Amino acid sequence: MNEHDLRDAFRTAVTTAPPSMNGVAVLDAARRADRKRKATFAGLGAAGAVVAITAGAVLLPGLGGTDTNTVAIGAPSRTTTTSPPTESSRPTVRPDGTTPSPRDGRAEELLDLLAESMPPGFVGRKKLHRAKLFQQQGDLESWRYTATVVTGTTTALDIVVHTAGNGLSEKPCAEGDQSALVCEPLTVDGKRVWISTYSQHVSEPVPRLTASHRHADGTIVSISQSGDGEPPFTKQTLAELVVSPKFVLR
Amino acid sequence: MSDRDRGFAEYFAAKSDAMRGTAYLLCGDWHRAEDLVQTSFIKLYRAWNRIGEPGRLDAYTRQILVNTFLDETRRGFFRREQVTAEPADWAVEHTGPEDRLVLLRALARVPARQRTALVLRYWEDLSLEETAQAMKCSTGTVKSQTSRGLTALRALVPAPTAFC
Repeated sequence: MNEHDLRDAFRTAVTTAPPSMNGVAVLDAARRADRKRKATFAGLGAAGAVVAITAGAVLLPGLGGTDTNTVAIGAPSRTTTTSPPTESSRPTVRPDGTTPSPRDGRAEELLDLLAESMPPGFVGRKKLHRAKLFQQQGDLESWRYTATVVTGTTTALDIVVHTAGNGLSEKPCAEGDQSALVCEPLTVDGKRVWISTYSQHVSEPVPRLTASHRHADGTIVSISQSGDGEPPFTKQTLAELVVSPKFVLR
Repeated sequence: MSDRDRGFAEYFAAKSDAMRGTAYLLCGDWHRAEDLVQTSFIKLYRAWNRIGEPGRLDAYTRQILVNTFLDETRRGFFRREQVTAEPADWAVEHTGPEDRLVLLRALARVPARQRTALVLRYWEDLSLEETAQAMKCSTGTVKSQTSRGLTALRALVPAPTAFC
């Protein structure tokens, strides 16, 4: 393989590109992040100013009158000045859109749900959560929520939820796909779950097991377990987890 | 819509596909690539008014993308997230699916900085200097990372594939 071959191979690799990204959604996310950042800076600035004023009032007793009044003056000044910065430094409820997106909240909720779903003897440490607009057709939006928890030192659990209207195939291994994924169906309470693993002939750095299920409303929930440590779930228990309605988000 | 928003939206429409291709080769997953591009463009938006020359935009955006990728890789994010890297969401396999997968799998196992050097040099066709700027390192480091990356890829990719 030479450099020319590598260029050709790169070109071939990106021929399967999905549809273009939604520019409006990205602009919206950028604006929101920008407003949030400015609000945070404003809050920090206000908090800094209040600290400076409070420190000045405490350190310069002469400003408040005689020394005997220092304590009496110091107390109300603290009461009246600390509440505004507390509010502005935590701009969680703002009508101008500077709040964290409700979608972020749902991704965080997903992270909590996954961490709480660990079987006895395993503790899920929360790592990541994300929300992203996956697809939009007219007014219908499909969102992709992801969350990751880790157990022990090397085992990770990743959950991906594509909300209704995602247009994805139910089966993780598409027909004719020659990837190393091997899919097998499993039935849990009359519901079909696809269990996917990697076939043996491809060397994988870590073993992985994925269960995915399309819920009645079209939401696809997929949970993967990977790592060299003791796995918290078996195929069956992972399949049972993935059909749980608690992961069906809007 | 403000001038900044309009300019940003136009730039995104013109460049996001290309950036996503680069991101895909870096991380090996289209979903992750879109996350990377979105994060990079959000950072770009923040700095939009500070970037004086329009000619610098591409280099600046690419640098953000590379930094974002390397940062997330350092945090172990991609290593874990690759668990769900092949959900066959986009079942479009027109040409050489086997070769594509072999290459992507091999590329994913090349260390992140070597992979970045390979993608910037042979996909983005950047010069040594431009690659060094994007990776915040010297041209000598780019040379060594590229060479090691190629050696690693050759060792990982079996001989009878389309690009051998």
